[in-house]
Amino acid sequence: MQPQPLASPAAPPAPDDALLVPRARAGDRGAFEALYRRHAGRVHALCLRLCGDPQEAAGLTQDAFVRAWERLPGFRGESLLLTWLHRLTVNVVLDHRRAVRRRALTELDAGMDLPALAPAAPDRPGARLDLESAVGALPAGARTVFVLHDVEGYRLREVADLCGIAEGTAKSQLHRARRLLREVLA
Amino acid sequence: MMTHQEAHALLNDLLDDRLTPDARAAVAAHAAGCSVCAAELDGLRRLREAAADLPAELRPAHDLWPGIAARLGDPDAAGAPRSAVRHRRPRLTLLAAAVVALALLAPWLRPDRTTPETAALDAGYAQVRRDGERLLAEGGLPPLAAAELRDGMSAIDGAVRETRQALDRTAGAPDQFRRLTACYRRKIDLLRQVVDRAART
Repeated sequence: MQPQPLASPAAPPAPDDALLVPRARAGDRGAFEALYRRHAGRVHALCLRLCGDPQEAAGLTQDAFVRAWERLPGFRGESLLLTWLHRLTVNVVLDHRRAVRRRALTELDAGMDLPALAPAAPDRPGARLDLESAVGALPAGARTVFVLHDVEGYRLREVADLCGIAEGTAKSQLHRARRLLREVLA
Repeated sequence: MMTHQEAHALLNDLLDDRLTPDARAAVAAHAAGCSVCAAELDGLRRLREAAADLPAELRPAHDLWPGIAARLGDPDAAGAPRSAVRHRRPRLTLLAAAVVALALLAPWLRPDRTTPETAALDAGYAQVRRDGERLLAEGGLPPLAAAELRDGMSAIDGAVRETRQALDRTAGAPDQFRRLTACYRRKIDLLRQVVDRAART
């Protein structure tokens, strides 16, 4: 399936966030859809890189926009909408991951089989992968910190806060992610 | 004078500009004369640049808006909603339920209790954990298998911690105690499977 264009090249300039946000906050779904069209690519990229699975990323992108609609009345405009949306999306993905982990452990308690604790990863020494695929194959904790810090540009302190971990843990996860990536991409 | 090991351990921090001026100068001076550290630093720098250059937008394969609109309660929207969404409705019912639940649980919220059975489980868990740590320390695992083992151990550590705390709180309730000790035992078995699986790679 082909990606959806957000707007045709010949279309008139779309209204910007400053015009759309007040309308969406007032309950205008058309304005909110326009915000979705403007930012879906960024939100989806973040979800895809954080979770590593296209189908799951589509669901998480929907979750993020639904949560944005719920929380938009609380958005005061002190940061850019994209910054706010970005942080909200990270929280949606991390909340989802915690719920999945809880569910897996509950199933385990009910006597289910061994769950997958990390995504399937290429384990062939010297395997050449493109960076995007290699990031997707990292263990979840290392992947999250690497994506937020090295891809998205968050500071380590912010990454630690978002993930609810100590800054030292975030740092060691980052170093581990880089080491694994360099080994896999070598 | 900084040793090779000391300098090598600080290359990531040099790259991320997290060193004091003195340490930065020392690591940079070492890397300038050490081909191993210079190559490592160059590789890290190229990786970070490649990561920062990944496309900011990756659009979904199909339009997700119909599903979002349906979840916002738009009757004309196509797509199956995942769940009903209410716009800013106060969650007083949930809050009230949480208060009631806490009040009911209060008698059980007592600190740290150990019985012979929990002590045996603690010892079993510590043994498997040591086996996993030893496997990692030996350094013979492929990198991603080692990472999976670390993640598995970390996930189970959290689960065991929760179960152990629950056990401490429910030592006086026999049914709950039996259920939680069985649960604890299954987590130890799971950890054993994770460690054994890594050992076989």
